[in-house]
Amino acid sequence: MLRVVFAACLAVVLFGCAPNPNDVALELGQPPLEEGESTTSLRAIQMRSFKTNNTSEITAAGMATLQDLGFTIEAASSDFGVITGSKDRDAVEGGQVAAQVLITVLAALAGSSHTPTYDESQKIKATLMVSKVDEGTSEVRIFFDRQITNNLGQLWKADLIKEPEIYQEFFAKLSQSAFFEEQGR
Amino acid sequence: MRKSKRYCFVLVTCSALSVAACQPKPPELVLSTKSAVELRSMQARRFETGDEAKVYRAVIATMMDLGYAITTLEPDAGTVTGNKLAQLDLTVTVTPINDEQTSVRANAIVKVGPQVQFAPTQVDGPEFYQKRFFEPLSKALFLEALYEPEDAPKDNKPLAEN
Repeated sequence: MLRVVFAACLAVVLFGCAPNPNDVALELGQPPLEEGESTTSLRAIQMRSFKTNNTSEITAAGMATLQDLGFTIEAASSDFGVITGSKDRDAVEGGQVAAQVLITVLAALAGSSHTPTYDESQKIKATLMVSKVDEGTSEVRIFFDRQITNNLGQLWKADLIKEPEIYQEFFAKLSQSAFFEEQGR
Repeated sequence: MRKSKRYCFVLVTCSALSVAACQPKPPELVLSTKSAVELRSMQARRFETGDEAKVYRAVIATMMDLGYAITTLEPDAGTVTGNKLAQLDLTVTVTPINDEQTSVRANAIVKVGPQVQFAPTQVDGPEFYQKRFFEPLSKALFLEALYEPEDAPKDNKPLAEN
C-alpha cells in the first residue's frame, strides 16, 4: 500500500507540473484579445486606409518609416506588401533594479538567498502588410510585439503592444514620409 | 572500514546524480509520434479556389489577426513562418492543386516559454490546427476548409463553418 502511495506521489511530482504541449499551444494560439476587445477593435488600432492604389509605393514608404524608427528589416515581399523588422532596446529601469537589490539584502539579513532578477533588454518586432482595397484605396496594417529578456538571459515577458499612441505615431510618420492622405477608419 | 567505503560510494553516486541533474539539456525538437497520414489529416486542408495568391495573402492576414509576427516568407515557394511571442512557431505552405483548388498545410512548434519549460515540441493536437488556424482562415477567405480527399470522412463534411 505504502509503495503505491509513494509511486503515486512520485508520478505527481514528476508529471504533475509538466503541461501537455498541445494544451499549451491551444492556449497560446488564441487570438490576442482581452476582455472587451475584438478583432475589429484591434484592427482599428493597427490599420489605416490611404488614398492611393500604389501598393508598392506605400510598401516602400513603410519600409523607410520602419528604418527611420530604428528597425532592422528582416523579411520583405514587395509583391505581397509584407515587411517585418525588429529592434533591440535597453529595458533596465532604475526602480526595478533598486527594488531587487533591496529584496536581496533583506533576504540575506533574514538568512535566506534571493537572486536579483530584472528586465535587461527588449526586442521589439514589427510586421506590416499593405493591401489594395479598391482602385483608389490601400490599407496598411502593422503590429508590434515586445519580448523582454532578464539579467539572467531568460525570456520572461512577451506581449503584443496595444497602446494606440505607438500606432498613431507610426502612421503619422508614414503619412509624412510619402505624403499620403490618411483616410482613417 | 567497510562502512566508510559504503558511505563513500553513496556520496560519489549522489554527487554524480546532482551534477548530472544540473547539466543543461540541449534544446532538441520533439517530433510527433503520430503517423504521417494522421498528421496530414490534421494539418492540411483544401480550399475551392485556384487563386493561390489570394490564399497566401489570407494566410498572412489570419496569422496577423492571431498575433503571429511574420519571421520569414517565400511567396515563390508559398511558405510563410510566424512566431507568436517567442513561444509558438507556425509555418504554413500554400500549394496549388489545380485551377480550382488550393491546398494549405500548417505545422506548429511550441517552444520554451516564460512560464513553461519543455523542449520545442511539434503540435499534434487536431483541435489546435482546426480552431486556432483553419477556422479563422476559412472566415478570412469566405471559403470552407475541406479535408484532403484521401483523408475525407464519409460525407466529406466541411470542418469549418463560415
